[in-house]
Amino acid sequence: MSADTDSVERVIEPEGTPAHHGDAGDDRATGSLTTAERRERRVAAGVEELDRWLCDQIDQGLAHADRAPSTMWEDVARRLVDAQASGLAVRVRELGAIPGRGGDRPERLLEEYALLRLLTTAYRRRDELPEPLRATVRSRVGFTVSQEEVLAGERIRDHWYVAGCRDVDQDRLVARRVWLRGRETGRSALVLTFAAPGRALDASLAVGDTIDAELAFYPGALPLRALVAARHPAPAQRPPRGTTVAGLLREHAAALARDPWQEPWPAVLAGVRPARDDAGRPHLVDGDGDAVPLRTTDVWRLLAVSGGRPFTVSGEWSPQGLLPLSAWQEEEGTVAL
Amino acid sequence: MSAWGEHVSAALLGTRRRPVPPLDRTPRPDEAPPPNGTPPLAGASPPDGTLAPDEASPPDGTPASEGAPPLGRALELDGAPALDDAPAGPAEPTEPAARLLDQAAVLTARRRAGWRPVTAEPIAPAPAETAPVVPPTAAARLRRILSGEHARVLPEWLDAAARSGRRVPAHLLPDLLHRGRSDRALRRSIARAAGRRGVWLAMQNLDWAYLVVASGGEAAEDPEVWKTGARAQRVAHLMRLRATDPAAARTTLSSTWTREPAPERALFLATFERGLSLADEDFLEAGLDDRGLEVRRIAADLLARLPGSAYGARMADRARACLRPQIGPAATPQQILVDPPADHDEAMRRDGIPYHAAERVGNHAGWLREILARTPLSTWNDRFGAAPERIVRLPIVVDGSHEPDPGRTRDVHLGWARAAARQRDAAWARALLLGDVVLGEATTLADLLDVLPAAERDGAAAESARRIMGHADRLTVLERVPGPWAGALAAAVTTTLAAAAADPDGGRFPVDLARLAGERLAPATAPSLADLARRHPACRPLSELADVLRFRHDMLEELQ
Repeated sequence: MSADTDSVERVIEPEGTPAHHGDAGDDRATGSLTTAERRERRVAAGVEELDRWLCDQIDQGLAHADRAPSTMWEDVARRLVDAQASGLAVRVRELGAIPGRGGDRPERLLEEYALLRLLTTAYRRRDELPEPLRATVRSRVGFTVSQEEVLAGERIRDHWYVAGCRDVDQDRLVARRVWLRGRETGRSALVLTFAAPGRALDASLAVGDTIDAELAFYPGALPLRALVAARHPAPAQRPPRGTTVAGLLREHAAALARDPWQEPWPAVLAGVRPARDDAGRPHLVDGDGDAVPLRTTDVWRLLAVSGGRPFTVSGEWSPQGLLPLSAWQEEEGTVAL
Repeated sequence: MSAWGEHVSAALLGTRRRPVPPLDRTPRPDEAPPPNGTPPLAGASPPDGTLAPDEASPPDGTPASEGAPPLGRALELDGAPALDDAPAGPAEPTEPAARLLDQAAVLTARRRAGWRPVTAEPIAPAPAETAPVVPPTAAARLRRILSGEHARVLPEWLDAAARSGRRVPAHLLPDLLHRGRSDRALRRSIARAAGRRGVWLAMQNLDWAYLVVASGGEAAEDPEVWKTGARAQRVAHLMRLRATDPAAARTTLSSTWTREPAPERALFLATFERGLSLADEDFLEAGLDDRGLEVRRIAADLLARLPGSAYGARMADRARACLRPQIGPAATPQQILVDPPADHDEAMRRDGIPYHAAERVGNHAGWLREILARTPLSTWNDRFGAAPERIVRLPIVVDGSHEPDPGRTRDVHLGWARAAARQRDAAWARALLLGDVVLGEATTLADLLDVLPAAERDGAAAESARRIMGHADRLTVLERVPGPWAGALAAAVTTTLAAAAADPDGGRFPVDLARLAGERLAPATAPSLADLARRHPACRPLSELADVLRFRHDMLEELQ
């Protein structure tokens, strides 16, 4: 797993610059002070350029972006890669995937541009931020933390339910997002691994398992990304513990208050039933009558597994809807969707 | 317009043309919660304009999180002075675009954090299952089959599961139902194994409606369906009724017969194949005078299956004029004198004998074949005073000749074989197979095998498989013999495959036969086929055959 994570940095960073496994502190310790400084300066310049670009977009108006080809964002992203701000580059590149013409592209763009502007502002003022938030901002911009550092930090042992797994293309790599939820602590965690397309991805966490493990969290205002630091006995199949729709929304709001750039948010909804709204669109409704829309066109497996009865659904929540990743019910256990 | 909406329109046109709208529009306490998409400002912003975490709370007013860091304050989202190194004080960024973005960031966080649940109507639950689900190992194998591994064994899996009184696990139903959409042959097997959950699911997806019909849902039993249903529903209704109460089905059809268009009449009449008896004779006889050509054809073909009918007697009269016994010294028939009809008349046409023969054998030969194929076989037992085994061996000659006539012999034997298949006469089928008289006609041979009782069929099929020389003909016959193949038939097929594998110069390996054998051979033959595959490691079709047999063997074990 460690090799995979490191490989991301090497791929993302332009050739000719040394790979940064650690933060500026590490580099200073090894004496390459100028390298670390040079990077900070390049990133700062890239952030300034992005900020100017964002303001230009708003100044001209987003109407022109409604028909823009996705290469527009691709060009900006490439410059951010050159500036070694890979985190920003990934965010910008994803903007090209927002459907244009007739969709809600201008609205989505304004949201995303605003959050990027929040990030450039926060980066400029990084020295004034409390340490956890500073770590969040730095990682969102593209600075990485070494695994040693992560493993030396906060660790939480729990019975972690492997709630869902989703592979997404990211930067010529495939990123595997595995979402975990602690049985006792109720905490959420994200284990990210990467592989080149066509290469096998890490399969050590099987959806539906509950593992007794210690997770080491990456530093930040909202510790979510984690490494499996130690695993105890063999995984077990246990019914997951979930929350209600109100509970999910509460968790999500609290998470955004700590890290407004976090999206999506992991959901484990217990006791929900499949439902439809007046327009026939698929939803999940809990025992209190609170419903959330489903962000998927293929609801059939979800429907089949539930049979219209209460069950537990895990997935990625965003205000656009819940993308279901797995479902649990008594008879068949956890089923990946 | 909401504050967010104002920001979006300003951003659309650009701050070059539009002023930056004000950020705050504190909702009054009595204001109704707006719908999603324009959520409320999640708590009014305090005067300093910062977003404190407990303001980004969901509608129930619970604090968002205890001990969350004061993000808003730290970042001073609304553009506090530090943002632009502007002089201290509550100044905003000078650039309008920057100010709009900063305000939009606050609104975005509020919108996302303040998202409210919506309402939706739960879907009515499925009825409780009556059968248990298959064991996990069997479920795992079904998943492999559905994802393409040995996909052709799917019907066997489903039938074995249904036989064991179990059903498909719910999470595999969508994939399975999707399969039945394009593969009609699967539908009956799916209906048997999909459980009540399967029907419940199918009712929610038009593409899967076939399952509701195939499992005989209550809706299909509605007596009104005959009057109000679509064509396919009415055919299905009639088919079901023919299976249980043929007379009632006939009454139902009679009640609307004269008002039905010709294509409907043909479709409906074809359902009489089920439960056919002499009670249907009058109805079918009337069908011979129908205006629709297809209706007349179907009526004649159905009557040809009813040996005791007046139709049968008319055919027998014609047939007796064509075949005459020539009695030998021992007062037993020595040979058969054949004399095809000289003319075609209106009565022949009415009884389903077309003027132009379907086969390219000449009209006289065509008439002969048709007449014999529609004549009750008992006619010959009486006329020749012998059992079928003896009759089929008699030489067939034309008047004035002493040598058997190969063309006429073929016409007669084919006519009898078709009659045996139509009338499902096992004694004649057996005699014709043993007499080896239709070897070149693979389809007819297969029809005859189909008439034999199951216990006898495999042995006869084995014998035919051995005698047929061409791979294609052998395949045509064997495709019609249902599995599982065991005993003599399994041995014959294995021998054929072994011979082909051992003789690389003997032409192409019969890949199709190997594939068919993989589906039909009894799983108990797996070890001997595995042996054979080991002896010919270069022969891929053989190793695939051994694979699929092992797969089916394990599969059936799991579904015991």
